[in-house]
Amino acid sequence: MFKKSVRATPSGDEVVLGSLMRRSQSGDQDAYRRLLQLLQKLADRFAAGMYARAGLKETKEWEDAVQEILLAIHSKRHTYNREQNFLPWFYAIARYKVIDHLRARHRMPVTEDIAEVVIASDLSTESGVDGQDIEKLLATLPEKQRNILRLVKLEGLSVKETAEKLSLGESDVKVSLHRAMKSLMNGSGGEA
Amino acid sequence: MKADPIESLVQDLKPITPMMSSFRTTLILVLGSGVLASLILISLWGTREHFETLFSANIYRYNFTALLFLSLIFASLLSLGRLPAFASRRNKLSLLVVPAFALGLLVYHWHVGHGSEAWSAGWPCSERVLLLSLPILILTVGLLRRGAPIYRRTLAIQVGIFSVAAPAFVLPLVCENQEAFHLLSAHFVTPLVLFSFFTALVVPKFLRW
Repeated sequence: MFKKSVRATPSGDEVVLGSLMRRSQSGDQDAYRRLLQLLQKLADRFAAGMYARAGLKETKEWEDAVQEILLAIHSKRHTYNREQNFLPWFYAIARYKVIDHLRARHRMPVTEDIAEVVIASDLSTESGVDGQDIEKLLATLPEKQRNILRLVKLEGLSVKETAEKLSLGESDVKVSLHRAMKSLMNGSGGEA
Repeated sequence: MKADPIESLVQDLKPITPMMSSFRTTLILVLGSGVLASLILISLWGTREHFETLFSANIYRYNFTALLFLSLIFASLLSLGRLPAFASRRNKLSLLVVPAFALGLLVYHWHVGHGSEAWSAGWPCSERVLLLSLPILILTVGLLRRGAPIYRRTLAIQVGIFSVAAPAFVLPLVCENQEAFHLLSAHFVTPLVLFSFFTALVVPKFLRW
């Protein structure tokens, strides 16, 4: 019932952010400032991606959601367990706040299922896994697929943006993304 | 937030006390709910005569074991559900215990051939369980609010199920009726269905953050 840490080959972001968070929990203001700056960028991409999927990116309201995510990170920072991965914790809070923001602003029905519909293309929904498992499952994928999946599904970048960032063709990104999702849904890593 | 939101959050930073472990929280929930329900029960209604004979009767042993097991499972689900990284949609499966028990009771009722009076005769006991469940619900929701619950509706129903378990566990200290149908329907399943429905409607708003 009580799972041990799911740290499986943590990514660079995971190591840096986790370390900054642990220092922040001890009261280190410099580490906290750096952490929030990095998280703001992540939250920005994530919220924009979710608003885009809900067809509301033009409203720019996701910028408010980003502020709410940062506030939530601040007020709930005691719920981060130092022995666990940081990113699943962060994305769970970010997703919750964005969905909450979407519901409040657009009068979406307050049910968990609708939240899942809004994030229908979100990684955890498609693959049927939850926050604590994502990092573990990502680690089973080849590096290329892992990077693409992380950028598109967790950070909310478009296929085009991902292709540019990784210097790949758009079709290459689409194919790798499809293979990665298929591998995750089959419960094992795939081939690049 | 102000013009520089990050800086205002940084200035507000204080060292935090880590949250209690899930294991410890589970134990506190189970023991705390048992003690609280017993104290309120005894202070309101005392105990029946020779209640110590309960522990030698098989029906009560099964009853106690099942409720203790249920309480432990739901306490652990609650203690994990308050942490964002552990929140899981798969926890919804646990809610199947409500329709499963309700259906099981209906089948049992049909099997033993009781009339409808068997339900109404047990209502005072159901009321007592519901009353005892309320303080447990309030304290548990208070504990959950200190965390960051993600799936509020699921958690709300789980709180309802958990809150009923301890009162159902201790009510035989007062109740003289030892019939299996009474124990199952009046002490547990009826309050379970009603209370989980109530918490599903009321509790999610209190878990919002």
